[in-house]
Amino acid sequence: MVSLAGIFLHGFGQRYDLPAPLALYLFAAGGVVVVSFVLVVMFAGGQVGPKAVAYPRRAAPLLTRIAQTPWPRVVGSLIGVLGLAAVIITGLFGSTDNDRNPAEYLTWIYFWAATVILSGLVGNLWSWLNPWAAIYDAVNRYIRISPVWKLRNLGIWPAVGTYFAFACLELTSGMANRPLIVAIAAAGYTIVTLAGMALFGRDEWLDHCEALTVLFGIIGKFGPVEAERDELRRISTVYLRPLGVGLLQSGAAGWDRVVFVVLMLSTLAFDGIEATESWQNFTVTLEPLWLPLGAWGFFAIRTAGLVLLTGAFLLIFIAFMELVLYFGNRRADLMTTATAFAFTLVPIALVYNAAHNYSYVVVQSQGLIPLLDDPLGKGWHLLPALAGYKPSFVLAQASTVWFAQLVLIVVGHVIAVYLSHLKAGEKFRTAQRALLSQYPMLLLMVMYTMTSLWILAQPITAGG
Amino acid sequence: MSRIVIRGNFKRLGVACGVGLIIVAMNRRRLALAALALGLLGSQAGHLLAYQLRFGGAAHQIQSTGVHAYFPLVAKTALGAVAAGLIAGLLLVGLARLLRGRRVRSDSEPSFISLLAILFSLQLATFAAQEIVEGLVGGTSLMSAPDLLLWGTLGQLPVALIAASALRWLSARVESAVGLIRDVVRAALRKARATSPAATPAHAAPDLALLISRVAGSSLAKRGPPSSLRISSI
Repeated sequence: MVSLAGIFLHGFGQRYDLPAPLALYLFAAGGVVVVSFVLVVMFAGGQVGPKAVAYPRRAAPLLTRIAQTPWPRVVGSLIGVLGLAAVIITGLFGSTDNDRNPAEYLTWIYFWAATVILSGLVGNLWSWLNPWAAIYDAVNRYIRISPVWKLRNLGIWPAVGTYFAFACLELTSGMANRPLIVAIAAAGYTIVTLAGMALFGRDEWLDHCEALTVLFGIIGKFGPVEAERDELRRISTVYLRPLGVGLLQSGAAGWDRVVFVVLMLSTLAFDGIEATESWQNFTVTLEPLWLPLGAWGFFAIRTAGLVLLTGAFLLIFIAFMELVLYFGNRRADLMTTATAFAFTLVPIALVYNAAHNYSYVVVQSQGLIPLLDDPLGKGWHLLPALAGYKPSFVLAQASTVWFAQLVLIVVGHVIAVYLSHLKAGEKFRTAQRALLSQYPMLLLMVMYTMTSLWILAQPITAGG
Repeated sequence: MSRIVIRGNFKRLGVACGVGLIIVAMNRRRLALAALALGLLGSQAGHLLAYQLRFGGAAHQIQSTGVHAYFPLVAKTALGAVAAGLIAGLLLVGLARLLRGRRVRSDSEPSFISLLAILFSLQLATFAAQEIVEGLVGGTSLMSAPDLLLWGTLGQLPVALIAASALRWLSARVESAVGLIRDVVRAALRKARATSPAATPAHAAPDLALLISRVAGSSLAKRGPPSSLRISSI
């Protein structure tokens, strides 16, 4: 995607001159987060204990009926399996030019950018789209598969590792723009996932080792649709709830979950930082260290950068959690507290993802349409009417992108402040302690709002 | 030989005063203060490392001229203070070990990850603040947020790792060591006070009785001229 990014995402041909200095935008955005904190305290600050995180939800009988039919799963599975097959086939046999290969668009735009955003807006779409679960279920219907081994109690650490590997493929390998590599990675991951499900059990593997299932499970909590399942994991009731409040649900606590959420943030931030001049200077300065590694050097320095950033994010988050505990005056377990508050950062990761991938989704996604005429680049004319399609830039003017990103980032942080405050109400004994505990979180949110906006602004604006 | 005597005496003193095995976790507030101090001082070492990595051979020149003119003095003072603190801590632990005759331990060490997180964040914040102030004072362009984050992390993280390891090790032991030394000194003073008003002859004091233990006694008996020359032996 490097070249694609070069064309559209990180360089819009013309840079946008902000009508006011960038710093003003950054401080205004930080100010909005502070004001939202005050409003949250005024209007939602009184509750403590389990009441603080109780949220309204309404049963949706129509959605329940639809969800209980096999059709959503059938349609979702079909889309998932066809998508996976398309990535592997076009990647292996299609054009080597990333601009002209559907595997690139399907993987990085339709799946990685759009499906994540949609799942945040709707709910966990991956539970229906997951192609590996669909293949497993189809095979299991005819040949009964029983797990051979029991998975050791590793939490979701394997999923953390897989997610990190996926992030490396996307951000540090420099090979994300090679359709062949993308196809091989997809095929390899398919084999590993199917084997894992067969050997350790479908749900065991998916819940602990399959990074995408874990990722979408977290993102789905943000969505307004909540599905309640019975002991056989069949949907019993579907509810509608306010956006984001699903993240208040208490789940298992563990550093694995904290690291996973932090990785969600740090990989996005690293993607943004990679496009800045600071990163270029950083890599050039450190050339003596990585240049001797030859072809692996660039991979090594980028991966080191990602690890460094993730480590920094994690440590800063933990330090702030210590402050939260200190101000909350509670001798609570750090890990439990960190897990509880880590989930309140998910809205930030989601909006950052939406903001960062905005132009991918609204402009570059259109690049797939003409490729449908000749997906493998063999000179076919399957859909001649689409061959001459030109992408529309109506929604991708630099000013539109900037303001969309500004609004998204601020809204995400405001939601995070709100969720964090409710979570504090649950954890701490009095409303006063809950409020005190949130000052460090507010500082963290304001800092992160301003930093992420600055990073996002670099490729677009010239107003800084 | 003398070491055995001292150890034996204080051990018995300790038992006599009910001191027992002293295992004390470092006071939370004191630990926070120590972390704060170490974070602020350690950030200067991180600053040095970051600049060394960034500017190579020119780092020293850059860090000692212009708005950085203050830096060598601050860095030397900070490193000196850290070194002095470390030596003092080690001395206390060493002395306590000498008194106890075994390792000074604590059953509750602070969490390494918490210490690392606090130290790193403090160091990074100090580094960022320092760079921003230097930029403002010097009228030069400020380092961008990614610059501060990347170079700051690269310089400060290794220092924070070492500092957190050292602080964890010392905090688990210094408090115990101080407690042990304090109790031994108190016990010694109490004994001395208890015996002094009665104007008891020095040789009859319990401390002396302890000193003249089996080893010490034999040790004292060996002093002086050979027994064959003593008048009493004639």
